[in-house]
Amino acid sequence: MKLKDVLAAKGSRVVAVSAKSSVADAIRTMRAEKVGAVLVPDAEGCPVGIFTERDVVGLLADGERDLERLPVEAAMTCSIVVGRLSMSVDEALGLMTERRFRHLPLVEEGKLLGLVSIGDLVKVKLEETAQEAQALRAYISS
Amino acid sequence: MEERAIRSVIGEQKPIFASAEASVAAAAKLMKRHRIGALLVMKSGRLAGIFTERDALFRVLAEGRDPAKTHLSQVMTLNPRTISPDRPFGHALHLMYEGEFRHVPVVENGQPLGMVSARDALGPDLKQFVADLDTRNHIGEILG
Repeated sequence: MKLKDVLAAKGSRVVAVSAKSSVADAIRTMRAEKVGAVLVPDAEGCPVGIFTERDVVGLLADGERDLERLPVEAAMTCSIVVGRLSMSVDEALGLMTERRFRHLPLVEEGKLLGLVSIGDLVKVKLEETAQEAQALRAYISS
Repeated sequence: MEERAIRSVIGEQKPIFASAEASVAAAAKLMKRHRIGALLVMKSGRLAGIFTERDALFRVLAEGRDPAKTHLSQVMTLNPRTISPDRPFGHALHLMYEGEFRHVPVVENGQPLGMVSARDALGPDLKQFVADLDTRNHIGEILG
C-alpha cells in the first residue's frame, strides 16, 4: 500500500500554525484540534518545521516559562523529512524507525498535500495483517 | 509481527520510573534524557499510571498548570491498559489501535517490567513482517 492510499482514507487536512505565532497559541491549537503535531509552513505553504509533543516535553525539561512570548520558530523541529505519495507504507515506517520521528508531511512539487503519523501507518499494517489472516484461513478451509 | 512474545520485544529494556509525587518538570527532564515518550508512574510500590507526552501537552501546558508545581498524580493517565510479557506482541498493537494510545506498560505479578510502544516494536518486527510477506508472495508464485 502507498501513502497516496493512506491519505485518501484519512483526508488531507493538516493543522498548521505560523512560524511567528507563540508556542502558547500553538498548544491551544493542538488542544482544540486534538493533534500531537502542527506543521509550520513558509509563505508558499511548504513546511519548514514541525512542532510536536516531543518539543513540548523538551520545553518543559528546559524550564521554559514564557510560552506566550516564545515564537514557534524558536521551539520547532526544523530538519524534517518529507514523504511522497508514491512511497510505500513500509518505506515510510522504516524511515520513521531509523530517523526516530512520528509525523511525515507529504509534499509533491513544493506543495503540502497532507500529513501521516506513525499511528495512521500502524493502523494500516494491522488492517492488512487482519485481512491476510482471514484470507489465509479461508484458503486453508476451502 | 503478531506472534513474537512481548518479553522478547522489551528485551533488556530498562523501565523508566517516576514517583507519583514527582513534578512534571522533573518528569520532562527524565523523558528528554532517555528520549522516551512515556514514564511508568509508581505509588506505594505499584504502577499507578503513566505520564505521556500527550499528558504534558493537554493536561499541563494547555491547562496553564505550572510544571514545577504540578505533581504527576494530578495529570497522569490513571489505570492504563497493561499487558503480560507472555502475550504476543500483536495483542499490544491491537490494544493501542483500539484504544488510540501508543504506550502499553508490561506487567508481571503486579510488577512493571517495561513498556511497549508502537515505535519500539516496529523495527525488527516490521522487517520480519515484510520478509514473511515476500516469502508468502514467492510461495504464491511457485504454487500459482
